[in-house]
Amino acid sequence: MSSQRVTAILVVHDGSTWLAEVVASIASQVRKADQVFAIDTGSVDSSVKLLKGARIPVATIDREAGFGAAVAHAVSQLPAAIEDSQADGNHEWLWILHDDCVLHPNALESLLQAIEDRPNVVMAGPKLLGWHDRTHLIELGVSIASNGARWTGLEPSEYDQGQHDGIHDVLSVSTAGALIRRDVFEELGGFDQNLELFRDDVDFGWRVRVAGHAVISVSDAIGYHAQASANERRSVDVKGAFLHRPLLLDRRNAAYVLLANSSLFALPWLTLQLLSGALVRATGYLFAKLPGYASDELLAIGSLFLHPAELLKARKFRKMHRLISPRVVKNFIPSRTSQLRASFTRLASELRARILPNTAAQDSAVLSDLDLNEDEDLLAPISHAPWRTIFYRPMVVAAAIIAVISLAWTRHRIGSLSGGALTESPESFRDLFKLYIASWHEVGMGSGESTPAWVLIVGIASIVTFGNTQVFITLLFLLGPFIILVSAHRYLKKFTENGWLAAGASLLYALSPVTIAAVNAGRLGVLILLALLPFFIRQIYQWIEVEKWSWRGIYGHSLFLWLLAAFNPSIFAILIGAVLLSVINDYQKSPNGYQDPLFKVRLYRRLTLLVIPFLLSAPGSFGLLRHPSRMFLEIGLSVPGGGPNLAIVANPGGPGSLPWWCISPITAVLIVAYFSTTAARKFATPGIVFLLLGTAASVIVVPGNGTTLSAQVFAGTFLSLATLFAIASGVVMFDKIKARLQQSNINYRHISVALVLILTLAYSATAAFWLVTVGSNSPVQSSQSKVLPAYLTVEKSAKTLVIRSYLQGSERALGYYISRGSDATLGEADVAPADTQVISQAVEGLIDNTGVNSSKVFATFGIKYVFLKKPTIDEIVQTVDGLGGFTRTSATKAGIVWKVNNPTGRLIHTDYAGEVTILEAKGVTASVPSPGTVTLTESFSNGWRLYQDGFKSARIKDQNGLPTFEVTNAGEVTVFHDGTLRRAWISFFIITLVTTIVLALPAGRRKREISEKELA
Amino acid sequence: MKKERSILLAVAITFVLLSSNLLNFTVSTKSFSESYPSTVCPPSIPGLSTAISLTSAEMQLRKTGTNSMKTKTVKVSRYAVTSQSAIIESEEVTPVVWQARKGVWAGSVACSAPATSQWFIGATADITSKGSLNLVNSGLGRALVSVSVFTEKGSLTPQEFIVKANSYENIPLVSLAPGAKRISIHVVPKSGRVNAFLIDERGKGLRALGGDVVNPSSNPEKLLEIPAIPQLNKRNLATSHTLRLLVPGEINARISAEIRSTDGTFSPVGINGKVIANQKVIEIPMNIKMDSGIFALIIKSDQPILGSVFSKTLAEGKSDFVWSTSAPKLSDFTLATTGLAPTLVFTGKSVRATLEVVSSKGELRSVIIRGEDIATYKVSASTRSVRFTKIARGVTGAALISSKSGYGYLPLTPGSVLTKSAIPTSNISVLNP
Repeated sequence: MSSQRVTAILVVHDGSTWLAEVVASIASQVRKADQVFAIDTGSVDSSVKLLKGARIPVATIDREAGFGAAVAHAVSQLPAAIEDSQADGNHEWLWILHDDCVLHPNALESLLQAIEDRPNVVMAGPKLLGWHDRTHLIELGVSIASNGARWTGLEPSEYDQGQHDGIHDVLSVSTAGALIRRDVFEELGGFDQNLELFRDDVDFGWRVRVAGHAVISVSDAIGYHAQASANERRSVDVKGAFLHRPLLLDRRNAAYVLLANSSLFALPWLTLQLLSGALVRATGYLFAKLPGYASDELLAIGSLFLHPAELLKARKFRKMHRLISPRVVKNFIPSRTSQLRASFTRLASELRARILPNTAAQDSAVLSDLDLNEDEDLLAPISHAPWRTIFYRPMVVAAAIIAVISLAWTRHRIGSLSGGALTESPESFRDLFKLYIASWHEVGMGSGESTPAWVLIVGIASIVTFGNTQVFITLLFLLGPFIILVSAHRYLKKFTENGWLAAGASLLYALSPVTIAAVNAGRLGVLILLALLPFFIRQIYQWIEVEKWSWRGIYGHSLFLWLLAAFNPSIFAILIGAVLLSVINDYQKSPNGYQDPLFKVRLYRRLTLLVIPFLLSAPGSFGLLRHPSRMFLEIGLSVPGGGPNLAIVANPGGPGSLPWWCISPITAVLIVAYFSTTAARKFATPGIVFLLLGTAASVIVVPGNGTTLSAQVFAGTFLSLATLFAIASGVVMFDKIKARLQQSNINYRHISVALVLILTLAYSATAAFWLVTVGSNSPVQSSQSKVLPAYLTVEKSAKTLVIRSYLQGSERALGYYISRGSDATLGEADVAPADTQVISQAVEGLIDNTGVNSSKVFATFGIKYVFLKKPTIDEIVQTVDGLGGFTRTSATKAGIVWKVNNPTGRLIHTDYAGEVTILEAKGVTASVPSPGTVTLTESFSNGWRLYQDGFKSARIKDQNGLPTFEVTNAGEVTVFHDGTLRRAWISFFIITLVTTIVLALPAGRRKREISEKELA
Repeated sequence: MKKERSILLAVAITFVLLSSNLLNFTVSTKSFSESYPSTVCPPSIPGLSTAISLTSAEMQLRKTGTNSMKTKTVKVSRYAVTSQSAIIESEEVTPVVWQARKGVWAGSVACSAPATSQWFIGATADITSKGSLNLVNSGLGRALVSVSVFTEKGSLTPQEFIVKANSYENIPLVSLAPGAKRISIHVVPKSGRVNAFLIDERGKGLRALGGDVVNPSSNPEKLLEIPAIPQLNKRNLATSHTLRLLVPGEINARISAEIRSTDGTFSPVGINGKVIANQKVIEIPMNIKMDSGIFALIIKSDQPILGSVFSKTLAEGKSDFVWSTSAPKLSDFTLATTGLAPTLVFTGKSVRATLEVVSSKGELRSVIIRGEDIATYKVSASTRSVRFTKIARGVTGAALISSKSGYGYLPLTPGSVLTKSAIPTSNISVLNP
């Protein structure tokens, strides 16, 4: 039996909920405290009455008094310690008790036993478990991380199975059940009364440590702690608790502890960490829709920094009581690695819980221990399935089929891809970000068009390949069919228990005509759509009864629709059509017209689904309102589709698509399913609608990106939807069909099923044959030689007019475009200007031999070279040679280059005498030799500015449509494109996106909203 | 219900498919520019008189030797060139140039659009040669021309010539292949609007041996058709003709020949089965014994081949020689004949063509040519132009012209054909590999 004297100090504040049990636990201690003293901080509940009933002496102090003040008051009421007993090694101990912490009957005895052989220990604490879940380990010693987080070294909701048991040296222990030697407590000045609640324990432990004493946690002593204040189970009424917010107080105190106790050298870094940590957490809370917590984070740091005197005083006080090097606590402060590891573990655990929810545990709770048969595991035969059975799994077989086909199909696609609708990818994702942010794009004669959001999305997605966009795009096209297979399977397996049917149908989707056309012709948008569609289409059946979607769901779906529309503008056409039809339908069904509440609810939801994607796609989406036909455009280069006769068999056509004789079973499946079961018809009907819409859309002719050429619409979006609906209807129809057919006599059903099967087999064979033979020579290939020869890429600022003949169908056509020292790269086509009339006429002159002034025109627009790409047309070569104004500089196997004889450049200065000088630009500055005008050889835009001596020069649009500035003095000028408008759009986009994401995310719960059970 | 669904589906599919196909017009993704390139006539070098036969006094013309591309109206229907070379906006008409050294020799050649490759099978570069190769650059940019010469000993290293903008370069044949008796020339412009013209003029001391303008041949082919070889003799004696051949490829050629004449079709002695060494200019003498007249020579070869026939002529009491070169298949075009009175010769298994003859007074007269193997038509001196239409397959033709100065040959081939070129459209796709 220990001879130590123990005084239990119970601090009470509105704790009647827990107090009865706490008092009982004090009374039932094996080793009783020598005296028990309660301090009540102005409780307004029955706490005091309860204590008095238990015959515990109570002193009541001010309600706003902090925990430290309460303990200090209690200690001041105790008789003075006896010096002689200390000399014998017997000390008086203060056992600090909380009104929400129950102690195990052995707790005090275990604590005293632990300190018996450890004379340097002046503070010991129990193992704290949850109040409700008493297997939940809360603390076994506590520390503080450099970002101010309370560090216990435990996993969230860690199950206590004795894994941390023992007596451990720790930085500090919780004050709940802590045993503190009274003389040291008094010597160190007790708990810092600036820390009225929270973190006073860590602070005291820290001070104990640097005073040369030890702190231990004792797992044999157990307490069950409700953490009522931290969990917002009672109000925080302490004087210093600004706004009475626990989180604010906790964060403020955490920062205080760190800044008051850390060494001087660590302060700048700590300050930075605390600030950045607060910002990050505040952002996180905003995303979790907890603005109160977010403000707590920021206010906590702010309120502390507003009172530096408090900190200085605290540091001075600690310096006086510090006896050993502050390095002694270093071992107890978690390292950055430990903090990172813990963060990752937490993140991984949360992800795992989301992706692989423990449904078994949730679904079948063990009601009784009797239900458990521990011998069952031993009796159950161990499965010894041979490893090769993995190859009998349907999805493995389907993936293997794609892999085998892909070996031949993609043999020309190992490396950086380009061709078809896909332009060359830049090496780094930074180039895509630059393109997205830039207000002016040096493409053709220049463009101020806003870069569409898909460029940004691809740039961000390229982070998975360490920022290498080329690798990302290559992997996307190589793995595209696999990704589509998996996503389709996730969707289709819900309709059948037959794994082979689901896998076969997914394989058909992954090798459907529209997938093949998308992969072969570099149609990035359709490829993304095909992969994402199965995820989205699962929800589409609630479109009619859209009120069943929560608002969070509406925002989530809006984001998803935006993502699809960013890559496929035709989604807007479908969306507008669907919203219009649905609203009309709702109105017709509505008994009270537009005043009907259900009509309104549906209307608001539908409009949200339309407006948010529209706003997120701004300002490009506003352009769609002015030119609705552009909704049918694809992203990237314009590559025509195959017309209605191919579209009706679900083949979008165009370069790289399957030939007409590879007839897919999609249309047949839709027709058969339409007359099949009601369940199958549910999918077949929208499928037929999209098939017919796709057929009709394939007739539309629209001018493409960066060209005046009109081309037939590629109906990939419509046909993707039709294909997925067809396959889903097929799966529903074929599920358990064998049994159904066996039960009936041979009729049209047998014939139609046989027909579909034969068609599917024929398609599989012909498509596979085509893919491994002709299909590999698709427009999209790797290692394609550059258009521009290397010597034309040296002068980055020089414009080169590239003329090139290419086969369009069976005819040879001629195209031209202005290059800025490189080939077209990803995203540039979407912002490229179509043409400049004057230049087009000058180019025509090169062909029809009328271009006597062509070289002059080119020089006016800053075009320095004319490059005729091989294969050249002799007549054109002769014409350019003969026209004059051009000097042939080279003729190589790449093509023929002529230099425009008239001097030209980016900035052309014309003085008042009419003398023309080409200005040498250094970045955005150039030196003007005399007053006159400066013409910028870029397309006119209101954003162009020329500054001289800090003043903006007057700007006009000259007769050629070029921006021209009046320069009044000789000297240096600065020419740039003002990107304010672009920055405004980007800000608008970010605000809209973040707001929508926040609204779509599940809301975080305040601690007071979390059940006791969850909190343990 | 099922029936209704069937009808609905059938109607929907039929309607969409029909209306789509009705609306689906093939989008013309390009527009075309159609034009006749201007034709370039040979330069009038000192000592020669040059006259260009035109069909209209309203034709536009400019000349080399200036910096201007401006054209002027000709004002006459036979234009005499005193110097330089004429460039004529002759549209579908092929002007014909008659060049002569008065009282010594004469020759004819068609004005033609610049070509990317021209072969000349004829002329000599030996001591008797006074001939020259004239390179005309009708463009306003400098031209670089590669000239390859083949001789009886083989091919010589190609030479390159720079021809200044809108000018011509006269290159004596003796400087191209000094001492070579038999030459053939291949002219390939590397840049510029270039036409080449070859004059084969010969003399021994002060004695003139005659001369001719050697017409260019198209690229080598396995079937060579020389439609008109004049047989001009005083008595029924064998006349000497010389067949000059060149196999420009890497493999020797085995040839066979056929002569078509009004007397019938026969094979000349000593030609059939003959092997022609590659890249060497080979001459085969042909002693043809028949009445005065005209015959055609058809040569078949197992390798692409070029060839022409050198014939001594006697016209209006004047001795001369003429190079009858191969002619491509006859196509629709208009030949300006003002002041020339040529004899048109057509050859083919079955000759059939319609000639629209326009007199100097503007009267139009249609003449139908029918025959087998060979047919001739003498154009009157008052004829301004002859348009060839409704031509049967496999017909080739040539014109033979005689004057006091000498005798000329002209293959019937258009000098300028309608060029249809797609007008380029602005398209960023051209910057994508």
